[in-house]
Amino acid sequence: MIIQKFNHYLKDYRGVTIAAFALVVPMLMAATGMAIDMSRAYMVKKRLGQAVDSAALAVAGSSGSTAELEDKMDAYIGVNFDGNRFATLIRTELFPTDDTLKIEAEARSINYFMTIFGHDHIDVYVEATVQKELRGIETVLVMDNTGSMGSNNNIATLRQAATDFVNIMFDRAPDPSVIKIGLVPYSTSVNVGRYGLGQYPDGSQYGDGTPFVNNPHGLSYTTNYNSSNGWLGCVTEGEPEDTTDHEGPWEMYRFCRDDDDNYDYSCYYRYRYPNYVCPTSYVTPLSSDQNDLLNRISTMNARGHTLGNYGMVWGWRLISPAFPFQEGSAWNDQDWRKSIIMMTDGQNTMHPYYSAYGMTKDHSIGTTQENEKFEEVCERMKEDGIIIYTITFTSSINSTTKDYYRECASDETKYYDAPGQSDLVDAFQSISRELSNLYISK
Amino acid sequence: MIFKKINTYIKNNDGLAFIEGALILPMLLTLLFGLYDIGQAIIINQKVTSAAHMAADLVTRKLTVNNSDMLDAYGAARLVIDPYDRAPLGMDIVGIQFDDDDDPEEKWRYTNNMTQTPSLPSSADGLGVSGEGVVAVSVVYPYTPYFSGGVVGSFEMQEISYLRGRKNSYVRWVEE
Repeated sequence: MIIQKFNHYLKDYRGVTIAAFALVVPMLMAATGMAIDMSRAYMVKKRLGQAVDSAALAVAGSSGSTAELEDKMDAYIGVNFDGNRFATLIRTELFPTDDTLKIEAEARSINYFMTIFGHDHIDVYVEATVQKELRGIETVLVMDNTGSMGSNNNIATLRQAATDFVNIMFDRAPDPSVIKIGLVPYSTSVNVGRYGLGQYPDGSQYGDGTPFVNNPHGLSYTTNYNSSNGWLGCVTEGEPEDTTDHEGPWEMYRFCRDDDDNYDYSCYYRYRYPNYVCPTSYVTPLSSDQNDLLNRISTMNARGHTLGNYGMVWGWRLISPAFPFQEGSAWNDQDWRKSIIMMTDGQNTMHPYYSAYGMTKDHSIGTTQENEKFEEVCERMKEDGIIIYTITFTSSINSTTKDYYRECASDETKYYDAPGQSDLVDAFQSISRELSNLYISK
Repeated sequence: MIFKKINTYIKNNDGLAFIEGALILPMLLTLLFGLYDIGQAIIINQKVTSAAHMAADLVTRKLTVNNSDMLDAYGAARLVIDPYDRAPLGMDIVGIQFDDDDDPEEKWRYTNNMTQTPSLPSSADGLGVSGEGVVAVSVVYPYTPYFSGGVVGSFEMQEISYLRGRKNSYVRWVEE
């Protein structure tokens, strides 16, 4: 009887599902828990990957000592990873070489379920390598060479400041070829020199030899300011196209001369030389030749009235890759950054008789219009991606001019007010450090 | 007679499998639906992470930005959320520049479909020095679990991404 019942119990299969399920549940739970822990680790890896990517990009675009770069890397990984959520950061490491940067990072994802099986965490590892951006920098210095710069020998301070600038830029560059500097001394007009006739200053062919200055009277180029018939290199043009037409050709600057290059008898100053108040220092197209740049800076003189807007336009023409000066890199070239440093010691004023716009009696424009032209050129340059630094020099500059210069700078940190000579030198040094820090990594 | 009937009832095991099923099924379904909800949450969380990073990447490739760039970035982030419902996606983008004291300063901001994340500018502290900049993007997406939503409710997924401008670390805002 008892044996029979026991036999029956053994043979009974109904009611076994619960028992089977009871055995399977721990396995199901374990599998589910593992899946969740693994997925969380995968999420951690994804965030860490993006944090490392943004850190790599930030570090590649910065310069500084390895320790400074490591700080930057940690700051970027920290703020992007936000480790509190699922995991903690356990290791970040930077491996800089000359032309690449590698970042390795590890984070620990704390397990909820797998702890039961003795695995209380999963470590995830991410690495990113980026090509270091060895960008070059193109800078044009647009410098006030007007008569007022002669007082207190301010022009000598400007020469010193520009010299320091050039030296710092080349000293801090890994290679001179990543630096291109152009010079635009301006006053009543801008002296484009022999380049206007399609020639280098030594007379050899420049570019494809195409002149961009008309020479209807067949004048010869001269470097003698007091020449009675030669052309020193200054140009004139019409307005308002001066802010929009950058292809030329331009006309020769002939002080108080008429279309036939004779004295214009309506002009009180007609007996001055035809190159009167044309800056003697001609422009230097973008160049990596440090010594030549320093030589050119040393030729700057104080003479003439202030047409800052006109100097700025030629700064643009120098840095643009288009004719007439083609040394500039293409606008969309990622390897080069373009910048302009524009300084003045006075408000824009036209010479009473003659200027870059020709005879003043026929083409008189006031300070407000000149300021507006300046503003327009600044805006277009910024749209082209040019970084603009501006400096107002001396304490006699008025607030309107300061406002225009502050507004012209790419941002307010790039505007410098330099009331004294040492401030001017400091401003140029500070800009050179900033430029080389930001754009050329050593 | 009654005693016999009760005895039969106790001994009767007809339909036991069904009863067992009724006991087990809810547990199995809870497991299954819970897994589904968690799986969806993980996928959406990854999408939100990608969306923030992608929007930041698009913006920082520019030198200057305007409203249409913001709409582009927002549109790209919405595409990342596909095939999930794009409508609830919110985005907050801040252009930050560091002032003379190296403190982060909000220069421009674009916020769409969410409240601003107040800590975005201040959290950038230490990412740059005076004159440099950074772009911060905050993306939020409310997630309501399909099955367990009625019990656990909806919760907001957020991802914040800080990226340095590529051409110029500070990305300027220029009106169209």
